[in-house]
Formats: sequence, structure tokens, C-alpha cells
Amino acid sequence: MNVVSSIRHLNHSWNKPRIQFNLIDSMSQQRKMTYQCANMKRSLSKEITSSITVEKKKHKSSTESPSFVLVCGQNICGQLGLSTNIIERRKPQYLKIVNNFNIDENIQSIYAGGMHSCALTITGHVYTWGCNDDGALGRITDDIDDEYMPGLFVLPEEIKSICAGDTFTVALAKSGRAYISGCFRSSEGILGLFEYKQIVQKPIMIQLNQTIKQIACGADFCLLLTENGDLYSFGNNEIGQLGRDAHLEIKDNFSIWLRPCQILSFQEQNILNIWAGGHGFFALTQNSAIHLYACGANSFGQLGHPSKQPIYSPVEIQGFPCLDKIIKISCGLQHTLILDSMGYVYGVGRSDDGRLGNNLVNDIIIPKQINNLTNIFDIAAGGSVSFVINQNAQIYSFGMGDTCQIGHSNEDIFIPTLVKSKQLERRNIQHISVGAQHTLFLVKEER
Amino acid sequence: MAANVPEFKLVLVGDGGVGKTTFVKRHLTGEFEKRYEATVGVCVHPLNFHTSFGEIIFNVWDTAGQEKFGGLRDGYYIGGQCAILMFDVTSRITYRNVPNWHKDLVRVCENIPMVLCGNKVDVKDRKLKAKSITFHRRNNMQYYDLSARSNYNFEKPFLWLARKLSGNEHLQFVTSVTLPPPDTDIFLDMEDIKARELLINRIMTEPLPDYDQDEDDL
Repeated sequence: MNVVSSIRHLNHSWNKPRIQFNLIDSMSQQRKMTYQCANMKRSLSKEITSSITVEKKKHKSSTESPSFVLVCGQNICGQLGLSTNIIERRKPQYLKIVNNFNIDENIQSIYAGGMHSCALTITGHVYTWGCNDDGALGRITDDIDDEYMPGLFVLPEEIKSICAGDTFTVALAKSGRAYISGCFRSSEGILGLFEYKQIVQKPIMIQLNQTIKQIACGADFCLLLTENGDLYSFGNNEIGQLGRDAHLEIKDNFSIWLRPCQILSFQEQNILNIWAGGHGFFALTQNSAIHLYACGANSFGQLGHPSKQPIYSPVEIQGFPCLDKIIKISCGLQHTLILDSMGYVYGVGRSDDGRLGNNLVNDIIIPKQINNLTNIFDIAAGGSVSFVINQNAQIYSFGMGDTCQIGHSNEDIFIPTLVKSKQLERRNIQHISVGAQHTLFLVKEER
Repeated sequence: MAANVPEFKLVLVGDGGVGKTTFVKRHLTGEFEKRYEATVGVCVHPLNFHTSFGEIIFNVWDTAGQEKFGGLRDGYYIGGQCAILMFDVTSRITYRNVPNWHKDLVRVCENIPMVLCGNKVDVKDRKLKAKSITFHRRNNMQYYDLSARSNYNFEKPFLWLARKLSGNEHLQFVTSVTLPPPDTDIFLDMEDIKARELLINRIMTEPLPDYDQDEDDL
């Protein structure tokens, strides 16, 4: 009974105005309570939280048809959320995400980590599934079957966006607080989360005395953009992905890397947007004109900088076409896609296996428009593959086929090719997120 | 080194922290004779083995952390005659790049023999279900469990590669390699290990999972 009331209390607090940061202590108490709940018999806590979902759903008069998730690629760690006897899927398959009353959850966003996945419901709850060796699921999985099934990532408040890297998951609450579980990895193995070698199995709050507006994650680092316009980073900094000038910081001082610190070179800049992926990131800024900065791994020219060397502190990228028209940048492991407001897509970086379309074989240093792609409204790069969605809700994919995550077969695709699947017929494709060996699709029924 | 000993370039790849260097350092004479190739930034360990057909040397290329620069370039693979791809069975995120390493090897070295090795099987809490390691089967690779720190299966990948390279399935190692004693903090539960070996062997003989199980196939 105690548990139920504490959960109700938490749920209630969602609707209150933003809690100030000087209440951090009371927050951590709330958190403790939530953990106690989570530590209770799993099914019980699930039931309680799910009942909240149902209650909240009733309040929303949803005339819109619900959104749901399709998956394809490798399932060796349960990253597709399908049963343990399914090893891979070539075509997008329906993934059932239900609450404890077996009612389908209505999903508002999805995010694929390296070998795990997460989904955010319209009610602000987060489900995770897939590899949990390093704590990325934010929940205890005693049995391997627990990893193969979407389960609740229990958080003390309503979440507005989710993000993930190779071995961690981050959830940003409406309040501007963010929670993280898992750890970062480096070339030496486990680097840790906040503390060297520390793995966090259940979400903890990121301690920052500012309200967070936006989060972006690469494979092994995390960026936090605050309401004030400051950009913070933490994680692995071996190839400059933290943008804090790795040369200035004491070498191998992991505790500094693992603590969220401001990227000072953006102090005087007005940051419009940030995008991260693989081992690097981009920041679009504006003072009088628009500028694009990038940092991190650039061995294949994926940052659009001709040096092909790691970039340890943010440098301005000159070669990008029409900076003022950039809508979105999406980073794979060694390649980058750029979407402009005209609906055209450009690629830069490694082109092997078809990941930049155009039948290319050499690295591309200056973004090159990908032929035959028009009216594109969203892009998604990840691993060694690329996806685009056009205004007609059609998906085109290209890149390495070995993992089956491009939705065709296991053959490489060198020019953008329409993804066909029964599951995609008469459905609106809203978003795609690409992991290391799998892909998630957010779709809804056509109306 | 005696003349006319056949030498083979062995490319060792795997994510950071999976135990590549620990593994290659177990071979003591190889560790003693290692040399650094500054041009490509790798450490080459010449590992010699005495086979029933004479001596053989694997020049093992260890990346020395090069992969942290976001991917190995072709120079590392060029001239590779065989390869070991390694991941950590206790941290399956290290399996994420296995298809990429394989792809790079095939692109540069074409059809060379390759072995996939899952290291750290000495850790009790192993996560990767043997059943789910199918990638190597579809690509004609051999798979072995390893425990570098306890020497478990150290010779197996080299023996398999030596047989492939010599084209002789009956090749044997006639003397064992000088390895340091197993690390003292490692305890191998042999019963568990044997059970796992049986499981892996059984799975190897089962038919590959069928693609046609997709809900739809257009």
C-alpha cells in the first residue's frame, strides 16, 4: 500500500510546476522511493506503473490512431524485442509493446542504442530491451528472457525525450532533469559512468545546476544542451568527442571526462541544434551568420573536415552546402547524412558498401548530394547503413547488408532502394532509428 | 630463426578491451620477439608453432589501440593471410563490429581463413547464448570459446588456421607452446566449460535458422 501511495504521489507531482533545482535532495528521496518500488517484486511495480499509464491515457482524448514500432536486423541480444528463438529478421516486423493489462502502448518516439533499444510512450514512460551487460536497460534482468522483452525503465517523472549510445540510455524529463543508466566504454573496455569503472544498473539523475533542453548521444559520450544555451559533454574523450580539447585536460584523467563539463568554445555562441553519433558531433550555431562546428573521429572524413585526423576541439566546417538550410544531420559510425529544407540529402565520410549511395567507393570529404532522393523529410544513419523517408511515407535504404538491418536481404545496397514489407503497407512512417546491427521504425496506420 | 620456415600474416581484430593483447602476449617467445611497425602503428608478434609438418610462424598484427581512431584503414589488412576476430562474451556490445571487421577483411584480403573467438569464458556470468552466434557459420568461419588468462583453447584458433593454410586437415601441433601459468585469480569451472563445448558442437550441426520465418516475404 505504501508503494502505491508513493507512486501516486510521484505521478501527481508531474502535473505540478517545475521543481526548482534547490530541491535536488528531495528529488533524490523521491528517486529512492521509486527504486524501492522497482526493487519490489517486478510484476507488482509493473502493474502499478501500468495502471498509471491507463489512467493517464483516459485523460487524453486520442482521436489519432496510435503509433507503434517495427523492427529488423539482428536479435542476438534481444535488441529487436522478439522472442529468444528469433535470431534475425530481414523485413520490418511488428513489435508488441504492451502494459501489464495487455493494452498496446502508444509510442511517441524510439531510439536504437548499439545493441539495445528504447521507446517512449505518449504518457512519458520509457520501455527498454536488448543487451543489458553494461546496464543500458536501466532495469535488473535476472533472466535472459527479460532482455528480449520490452520492460519499463522506471523513472520518477514524466519523460519528454530519450537517447542512447552503445551501452547507456538517457531520458530527459519535462522538468529539464535527465536520467541515465549503463556506462561508457573506451578502447580499454569499460570506462564507467560518473566514476571510473562504475556501471549503473538503474537510472540516476545527471547532476547539473541547469535545466536541460536537448540531449544528443554518440556511441561513447553524451551531450547536454541547456535552456541557457550552454553545451555540456561527458563520456569517452579518446578522440576528442567531448569537444573539450583533450590536449588541455590531464591525459587519461578519466574522472574529468566522466563529469559533465561545459564545452567552453561555444560560450559566446548561440547554439541552434546539436547532433551526435559514432564518435563525433556537430553543432549548428548562429551569431550574425550560421556556422557549423564539428569534433571527434574523422578518420574517413565523416566530419566533412579534410584532415582525416581526429578533431580534439570544435572546428568550423566549411564545405557543407547551404548551412542555413540544414534541417538535420545524422551520424553513422564512419559516415554522415545531411538533410536540407529542400528535401535533398547529402553524404560525407566513408562510402564503402553503399552507405553514401551513388555507387561510390572512395571517402567523401565534401558533402555530395545523393542522387534520386527528393522530397525527403527524415534521415537516419547508423553503423554502416543509411535510411531516408520521403513525403509519400516511403522508406529508401542503402549500405551494408550483412546485418539485415537495411530491410532488404543481406546483400549490400549501393543506390537508395525502396524498402518493401507488408508491415509498411498503408502505414505512415514517422521516424527511423538505427543501431549497430538493428533498426527501429515508428509507424502509424494511414488515415 | 631458421630459414624457410613458412610465415603467415595473421590479422587480429576486435573492439577495445576484449583481450586481444592479453591473448597474443601469452605466447612467450612471440612476446619476446615482438616488433613495432611504426608506419602502420601496430605491434607484430611472431608466434611459432611446431607442427607434424615442421615449424610455422604466424606474424600476428595487434592493432595497439588503432581502432580507437574510429576504424582501421586498409594498410592494416593488406597482405593478411588469415585472421582472428575477437569479442568479449561478457560484454556483448563488443560483438557489434564483428560484421564490419569481417567485411573489411573480405574486401581487402578476399577469401582468407578466419576464426571468431569469444574471450573471457572464465567469467561465470556469460551472457552470449551460444545459439545466437550464427554470423560465423553463414560466413564459413570457425568459432572457439577462449579464456586468454587461463590459457583455455589458446592453441585452437592457430591449429585450425594452420590446417586451412596448409590444406591438411591432419596437421597436428607436436610440442605445446610455452605459455605462462594461468592467472591465479582465474578459476575455470571445467564441468561448465565442457557442457558449453558440447552445446556449441551440437548447435554447429543444427541447420541454420531459416529466413522464411519472417512474417512476410514479398
